[in-house]
Amino acid sequence: MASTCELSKLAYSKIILHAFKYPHTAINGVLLANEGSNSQSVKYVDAIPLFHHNLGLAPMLEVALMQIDSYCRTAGLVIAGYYHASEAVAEMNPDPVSQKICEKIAEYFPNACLVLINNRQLSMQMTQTSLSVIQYSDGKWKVKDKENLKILPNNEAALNSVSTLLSKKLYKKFVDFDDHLDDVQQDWLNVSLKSMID
Amino acid sequence: MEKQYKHWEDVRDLLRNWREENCRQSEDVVDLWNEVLANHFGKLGDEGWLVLEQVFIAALDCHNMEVANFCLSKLNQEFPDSLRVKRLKAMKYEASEKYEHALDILDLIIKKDETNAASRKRKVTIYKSQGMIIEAIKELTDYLRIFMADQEAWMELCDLYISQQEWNKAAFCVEELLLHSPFNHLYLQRYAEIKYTQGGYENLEVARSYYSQAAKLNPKNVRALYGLMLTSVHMASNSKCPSQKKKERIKLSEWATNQLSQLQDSNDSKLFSSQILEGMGNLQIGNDSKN
Repeated sequence: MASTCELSKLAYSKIILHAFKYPHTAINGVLLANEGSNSQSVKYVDAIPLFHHNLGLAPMLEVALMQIDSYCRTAGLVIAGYYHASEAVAEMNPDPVSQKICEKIAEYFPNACLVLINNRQLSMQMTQTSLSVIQYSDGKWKVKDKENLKILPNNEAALNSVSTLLSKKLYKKFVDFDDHLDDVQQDWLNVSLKSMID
Repeated sequence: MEKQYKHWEDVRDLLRNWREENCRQSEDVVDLWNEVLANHFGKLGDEGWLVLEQVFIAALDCHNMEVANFCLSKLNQEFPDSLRVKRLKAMKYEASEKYEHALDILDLIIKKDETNAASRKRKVTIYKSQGMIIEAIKELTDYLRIFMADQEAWMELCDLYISQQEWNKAAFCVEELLLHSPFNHLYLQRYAEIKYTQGGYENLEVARSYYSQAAKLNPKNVRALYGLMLTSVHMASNSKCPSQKKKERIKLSEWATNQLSQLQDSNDSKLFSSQILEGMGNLQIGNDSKN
């Protein structure tokens, strides 16, 4: 039986908002799942946006992952996946940096998923999930079928909800870890946006 | 855009600021143009042409071809033989992904005027948009052989090398930038980040010294402070570190942590420095070849 990959509305919305805030650069972030999740069929409940500049540099990535890890421990979550949008609009393959980071995540959470954003399918009125997923299991990368990727509560409701957020231009208030490093007052947990998304 | 700019003069001044600071606020530029400035274009005088160019580029960024075409036709009317307008036409082809046409126009411009730097740089972006990073790097290095003082180009080349994980070459680019501006804390911090990513005790040493210099020049550079903390702790726990230096390292890391917590004081974010120091060992991703 094929394993499924589910994204909560919150996680999905955050991914899309991050992509919309920085449409001209590559972006990345991690996906969080509940502690003790079944790694075969994983449900991502939250996403933490990381960077939009120089995704390949290690030091700030380490700092971010440490802070997210300590947050996860207080919230009963675990870093279980990674998402990435390429800078070039047509690029549909994960770059070496993304693979490396996801392999590292897979050391702690087997079968971690790498969610890639399909840039071409993004629009103000979202009609497609615009994501593709590859999973790292047994040392190999396997592409997941579209049917095995679900957005909760259901694709249509999530797409409508995200389209509403986009029309309100909420991505302007979205904060990623790079923004936090530029101004520590900014909250990379996006707590204030969470209530608007739900 | 929180303020409602009702007066066209305010909008004009705002766009002028953004032009001077090279800000990428494309959505806002197009909105401001549509809502305010388009109706007052005649009052802008000569600045109007600069505004049209700015709005054109912003419109291409937002893929608003209607506004882009309007701006381009006005510019073309006024400056029919201009190479600068030709370059904008090439950008329009680039935005429509008609890269061959764009390259043809740019090659023509370069043939007519070999000193035209902007057109050469656009060629680099065309390769970059298609994901042809190796070609983009080659084009950019050829460009830099001629225009060696172009800091923006060195920075772009550095970014391209980082995306290809060519750390030595990326570091070389930042070294060129540091020759131009040795007191730029951002360049120092960038150099340190590249050295840290390369890994190995000697590179950590270099990273630490560059992070220190960056933090000295700007004690509010959060990345430099975190970098200082990371490098100091890594080096202190490394067997290659002599014991007297270990104490120095730990002191340095404590100083950095204090600075960071001071910056975070008015914020209830989750900076737990002790937990971070505890978690140090587990999540090291850099290429630690000589550990």
